[in-house]
Amino acid sequence: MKSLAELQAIKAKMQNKVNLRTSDDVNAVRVVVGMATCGIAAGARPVLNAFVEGVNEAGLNDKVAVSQTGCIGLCQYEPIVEVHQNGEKVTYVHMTAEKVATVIEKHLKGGKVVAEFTAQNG
Amino acid sequence: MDHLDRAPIGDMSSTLVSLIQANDKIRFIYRHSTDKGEFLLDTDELAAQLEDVPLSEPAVLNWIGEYIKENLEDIQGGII
Repeated sequence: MKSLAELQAIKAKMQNKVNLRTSDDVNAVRVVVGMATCGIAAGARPVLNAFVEGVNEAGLNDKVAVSQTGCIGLCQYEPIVEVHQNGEKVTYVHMTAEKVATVIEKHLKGGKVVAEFTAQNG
Repeated sequence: MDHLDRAPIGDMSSTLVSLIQANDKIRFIYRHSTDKGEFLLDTDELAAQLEDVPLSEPAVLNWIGEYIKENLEDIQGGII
């Protein structure tokens, strides 16, 4: 049975970790997952969960903020993930939980955009 | 659930976790009552236990998801 006491245990564990928030960092990265009905219907929830867990495990919590947004207007490309950094935006389309690992590794950690996952124009 | 006009509510546990993940400063009060009992979730209570730790912390979100799932199964079980 889950008890509120377990939250105390989580809190105690957190005291040992330094938890910086990204508010002032100019280089902070924002990962935005489309979570409107189009997104959720296309399977954005596992993508969001994969990002939250992946960023946490990679130890990038102080540099990367994962948030949700509404309908971006490209419903046929959902699940969509936008990565904002230094005023620039990369849009990943047709995301899946499996692709999230690649994006975290190559883009968030390595700094290189994963071109195959972005929208192709023309 | 047997009634034609009563559609299934869906996965409340994941829905609430998604809401809390994106809005950890908003107080959510979720009350679910059935013939078997009642479940009340008040995020302020959880925040009081956690003090400085935000509700959007992954370990906390996991806990909340399982907490809701367990309690709803106790009072309702099956498809809600």
